[in-house]
Amino acid sequence: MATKHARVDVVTIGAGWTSAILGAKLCPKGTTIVALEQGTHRWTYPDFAHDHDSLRYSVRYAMMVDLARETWTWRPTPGKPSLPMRQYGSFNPGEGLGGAAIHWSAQLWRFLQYDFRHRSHIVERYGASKLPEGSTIQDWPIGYDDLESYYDAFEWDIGASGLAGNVRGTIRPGGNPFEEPRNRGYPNPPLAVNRFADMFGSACKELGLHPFPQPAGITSRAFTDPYGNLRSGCLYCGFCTRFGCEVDAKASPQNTHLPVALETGRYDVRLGCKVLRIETGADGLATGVTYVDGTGQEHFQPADVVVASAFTLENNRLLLLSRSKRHPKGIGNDRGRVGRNYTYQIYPQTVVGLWQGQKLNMYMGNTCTMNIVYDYNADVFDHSDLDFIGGMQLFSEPGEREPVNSVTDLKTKSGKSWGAEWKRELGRNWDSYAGINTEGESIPYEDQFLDLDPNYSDRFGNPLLRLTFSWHDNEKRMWRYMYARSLEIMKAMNPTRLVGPTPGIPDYNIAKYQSTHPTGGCIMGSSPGDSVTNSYGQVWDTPNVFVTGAALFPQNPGANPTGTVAALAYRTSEAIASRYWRSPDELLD
Amino acid sequence: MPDQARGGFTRRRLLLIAGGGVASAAGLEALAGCGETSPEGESSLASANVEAPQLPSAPVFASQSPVLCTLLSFFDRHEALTVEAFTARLLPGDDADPGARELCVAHYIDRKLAQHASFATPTYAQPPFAKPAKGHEPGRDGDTIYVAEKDLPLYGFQSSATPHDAYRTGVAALDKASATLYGHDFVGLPEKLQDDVIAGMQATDPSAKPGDYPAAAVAEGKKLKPFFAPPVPSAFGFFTMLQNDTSEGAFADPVYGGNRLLGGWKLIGYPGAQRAWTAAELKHGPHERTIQGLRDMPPMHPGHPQPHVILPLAGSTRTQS
Repeated sequence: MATKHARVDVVTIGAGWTSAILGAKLCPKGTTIVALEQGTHRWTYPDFAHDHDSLRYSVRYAMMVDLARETWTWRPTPGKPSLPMRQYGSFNPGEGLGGAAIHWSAQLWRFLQYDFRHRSHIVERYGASKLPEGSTIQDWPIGYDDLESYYDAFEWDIGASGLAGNVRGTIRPGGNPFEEPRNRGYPNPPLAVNRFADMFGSACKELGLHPFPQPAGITSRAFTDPYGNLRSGCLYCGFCTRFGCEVDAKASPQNTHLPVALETGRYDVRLGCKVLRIETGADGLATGVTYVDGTGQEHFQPADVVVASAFTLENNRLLLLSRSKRHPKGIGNDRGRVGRNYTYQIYPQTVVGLWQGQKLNMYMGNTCTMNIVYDYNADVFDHSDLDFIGGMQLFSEPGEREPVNSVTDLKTKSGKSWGAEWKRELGRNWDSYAGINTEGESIPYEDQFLDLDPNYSDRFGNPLLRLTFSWHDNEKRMWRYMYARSLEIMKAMNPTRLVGPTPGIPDYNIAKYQSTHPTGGCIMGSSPGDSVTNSYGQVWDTPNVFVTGAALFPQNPGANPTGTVAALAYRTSEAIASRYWRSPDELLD
Repeated sequence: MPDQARGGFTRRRLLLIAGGGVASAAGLEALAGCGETSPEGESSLASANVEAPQLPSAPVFASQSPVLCTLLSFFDRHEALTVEAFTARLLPGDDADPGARELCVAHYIDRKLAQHASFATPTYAQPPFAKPAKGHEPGRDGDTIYVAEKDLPLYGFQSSATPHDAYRTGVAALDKASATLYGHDFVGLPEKLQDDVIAGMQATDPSAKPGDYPAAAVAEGKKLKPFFAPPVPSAFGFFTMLQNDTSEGAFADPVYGGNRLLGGWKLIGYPGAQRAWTAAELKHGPHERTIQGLRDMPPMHPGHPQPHVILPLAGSTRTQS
């Protein structure tokens, strides 16, 4: 028999960053929130005080979802069998208080207007025939202007560091000249960059490109945020992505929104609680959620509003698992839209160079101590004569290289990664090579989606989520083009030799880490026929259920998702606070 | 470094203690070998565990096998020697230029296997498991999911064998292959032949394209492959496992039992876990640093100043270039 709890205004599934944002924005106004978190708690002190341990965090994934309990299955195309990702590969979703925002890389972006008007832009500039066959690209229901003030608020709340490229239409030297106009610059100057970033920057300038330092959710100097949280400047320690920050330089819910929410006494986090499904009543609206606590006891938490604020993949799975009489295919799925427009991110290195006898200090820094060019991202460059749409950022490998998971990346001239000759190579050159990295667009296709797996389940017997995904011709052509551009830059950097990958992008495989940017599946749109939610993440067919996070993206631009995830959560919080409670259960305009 | 000085002292103490107990060559080796700074109380236990003078017929001397001198927790003596020999070919070395043997990689692996009844890394171990679809339609049939052989590598790790099973059956398969093909178990083979076997195992890589591996290795791999049939891990799977564990044992922090005296990090010029780097160091390299492991780095504690930490809470802009 499930334990029934007292009703609250809002229940969030997961206690990651979007849940903390809702807490910080709504709880001070009187809203009561229960956040159900499957993982445990962790705080800067003492939990991150002694964590420079590559084996524990990078190799054994101390902060990630425990795959022994549940994982995700994958198949390349609909006709092929799916198998579970048994050990970590392609992506690393986190668990625990603060979610993935503890161990993120903190690369912080605003999307471009092109990203929001993706389909319209391509059709207007190149004609509808330019859209790749089978693609299901669509416009967002909102544009850059709708989000600018929220991007701005988030950047100033978390002490972002960067060099503005476009302030109210004025192009600033050294920043990203291709960014959309921002109302003001960043609260903190850009982070330092490493030696390799300087080499990359000089080469790019030589080629007429526009290098700039990575905007980061990491403070470049001590910073007191508007809530009164005091944070250190970055120590460039070399343990950032997959690690918690021991001095609060890297922004996380723990050093931004979470203390604000908790101080109200109205934000109640319950740890070790796994949500099984969202329950619905006879009217088709959500009544609350059923969850299991750490002892195996089942609970029902009634709430006026349910927010699916877990990771992209879990949000999709939860909606699909929440089947009821009124929603036989799951919440949000009355029209079969949940799981459509699943997208990812092209991420691998294009070329790697080696500078014999030079030390690049690649083990220092963080994942933002680098330079980038946006000259080949989005539609910044003319695609008229090209056989693909979309683009990528190209950037210098940022650093925080760890010996334990990098030594076999360096191979001998004959391609060997063991033996005496390899050992000599390692001794000479472990810190003398670095590559050009990419982060590219991923567009949606008919045959690229999420659904429930027929063969595999979690410890409660609920089916795992199945990913059907592979790179299509458009992405393979884009990769070839970017490989050629990267090679131009690399040659201008005069390496002793190239040690890098091949010109063709390999078939997508789930075995190798690429990025933790699975996006889409519960996308926002302008009508229930083309999407799962409206622009506030409010589910069309169950208006007291909201979705937050990158599951809302109709397709994934060539930029990290967190900035936009947070801006959308700010906008949703504001809409709930100012308008939703006046006419609950109604769709927001 | 103070810790290492203490370690040296401890080892001298152990020498005296052990001198009155097990006085075998192997026993002495324990003192100079793995286990970094063994607590004194463990000394007699450690010595007792060494299966003292039964040297194998193969020309392996105790002085070459630090792993024999530690408290083996998972491997038996022969398995330990085999794993040590294998990893020492992946990362060869000698006393002046340490490799896997001198860095105590096999000791690291033994400890890892003993500490984790199942996998050390998060692993979904529920059935059904996959098999290559030779003659089967791809898809589920009973307890098996058949997948086209060329697609299988795309799915990553899909074995049903735990690391315990994989090492037990893998070492046995390696010996059987070596004995059948070359008349000796693996440890008994000359290093050149050990290298050939390892290269052959690697060349069975199911995602290899023509030309990725030398023809001789591919031919060797064809001969080895039948010895590594389920439930034994595949030849490539076992090679990969040993290669990964060698990387971990040689290059993870010494607190895990390998990377003895930070030799792995010294090899590649890595200064170890440091609390902080400055913007100038990002460009020009480390300035007056001492290589150190986690134990030498005190936990970050609010209000406790540390070398190289530039006023973490005071707002210095000196970290800016």
